Amino acid sequence: MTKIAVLMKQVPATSTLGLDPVTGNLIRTSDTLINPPDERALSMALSISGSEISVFTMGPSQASDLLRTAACYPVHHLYHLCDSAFAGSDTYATAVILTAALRQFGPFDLILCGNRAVDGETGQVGPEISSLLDLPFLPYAVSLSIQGGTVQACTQNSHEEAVFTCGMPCVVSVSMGAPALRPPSILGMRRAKNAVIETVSAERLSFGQNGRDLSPTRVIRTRPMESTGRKRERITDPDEAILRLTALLEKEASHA
Amino acid sequence: MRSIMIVSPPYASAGEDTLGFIHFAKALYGQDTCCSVLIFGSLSNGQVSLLSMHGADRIFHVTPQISVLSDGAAAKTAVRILREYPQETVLFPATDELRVLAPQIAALLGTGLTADCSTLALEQDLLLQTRPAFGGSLMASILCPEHLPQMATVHPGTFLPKESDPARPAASVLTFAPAAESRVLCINRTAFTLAEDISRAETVLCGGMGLTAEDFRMLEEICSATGASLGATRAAVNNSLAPYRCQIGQTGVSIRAKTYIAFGVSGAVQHLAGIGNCGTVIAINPDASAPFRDHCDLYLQMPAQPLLEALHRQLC
Repeated sequence: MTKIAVLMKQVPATSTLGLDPVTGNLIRTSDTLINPPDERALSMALSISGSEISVFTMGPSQASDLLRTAACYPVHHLYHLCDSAFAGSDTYATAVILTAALRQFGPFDLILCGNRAVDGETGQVGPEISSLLDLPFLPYAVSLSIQGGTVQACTQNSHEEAVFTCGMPCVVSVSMGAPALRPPSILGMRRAKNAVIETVSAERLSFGQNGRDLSPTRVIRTRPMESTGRKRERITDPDEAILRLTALLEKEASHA
Repeated sequence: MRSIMIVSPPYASAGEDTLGFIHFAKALYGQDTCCSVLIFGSLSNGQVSLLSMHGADRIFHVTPQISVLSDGAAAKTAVRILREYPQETVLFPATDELRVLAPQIAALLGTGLTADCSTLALEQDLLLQTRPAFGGSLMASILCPEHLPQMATVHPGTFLPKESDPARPAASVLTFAPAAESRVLCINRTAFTLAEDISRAETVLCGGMGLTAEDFRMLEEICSATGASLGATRAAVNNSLAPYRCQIGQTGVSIRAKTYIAFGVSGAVQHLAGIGNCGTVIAINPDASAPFRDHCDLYLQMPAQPLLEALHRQLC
């Protein structure tokens, strides 16, 4: 039995959200979705036979929606790390809190997470957890298999494809190159209604600090992005368009 | 004396990013700052003198080489070096490997880290780290006020090398053995060709959902005929029109092509987040109000398909 933890995050569905001008923290809208690479991490966990899957998320009360969705699939435990003491955490504090939960409810053979969240886009929490747990980390996995106590992962980043093997336990980040999660079945949706979501407080984790104080970084101000400063010339005549493009591409070809 | 360390990408020990970061570090903290470079890759005498001429004062070379940087040994080695030679600031070009290694190091040190900064400056003598947030719609400025070192990964290509000074004294080279055994084994590794690695491509032709599978095939042929690289939007990749390595934007690759041409791409903010460092941006889309219209140098307001056919006829 492989014990797998999947770390998932609820992210805003649109990119029209902002930051609180006073605290510098994220203003969350009600419109949310599961961070797409995290969904693929869950899909990867489900593809491993003979496993016991625990899903973790950290966030405000509405983040339990994510666990309700995860409950549509054959997962065994759903943990919602939800406490006002967790608010305002940067990536380091988030990693410390998630690590405490992984210790509390583990140990796990395999920890899967998405390679980055589409809102914060840092991709730091997974590698930080691997350091805090002193585990090897395999980044950008697109597929994974387990044989004996060994994980084999095919990975792809922007400049190479590679195959890595590593003993368990280890942490693996899953990229958008991995297979998508199939839609939930009717049976699964029915099961999700009765699923038990365990809310995990700071006290439960013996976490006596608060996320904001534990965070080494401070967002001190935000400002809207300046205009991209592009020329914004417009052409509607196809003949002129073809002339411009051919000239440009022929020039490139002669350089190459 | 102030001290700053640059971590070099393993495949380019004295590459443009490393050299450019050294110049930037000296400009930011002053020429008398001690600038060290941490190298996990191979290191030749030529590279040592190149790094020295561009301003490196000290080189930390980890040897024998750690083949998989993310396995924990590289982070522990970096921490051992940082304990022996404390630094005020540590900077990393935000390549795929270093974006994983940097947080591993930061977590071991319990210090802060800002990902993928686009500018760095000093404010009250602290490192002011500015990065795009929320799909590039906001810029957030971040400080790490109470912990050292201050750490940031910075978008590759942000700092370019300036003129070198052949008269500079040679940097001292200190070698370190890995601080731990490797736990990850690499069985196979295939580097993408220059055309396949769109993060380094000079010309990128990108297809979106305005194109069919047949159009994508034509676009690919135009790419091979002209030496351009094929890019795609997330939706196009999700619909199997192109492989994932071609995906540009927030959940894909950031590119810095001199010329970027988008065929049938609307220009959603998540996509635009990946092309901010491109030179000339051209978008072809029949929609008069697609978001791309305000974020390109040239907007060809017309269907992409006939244009693609004409280009294919002329170039292939």
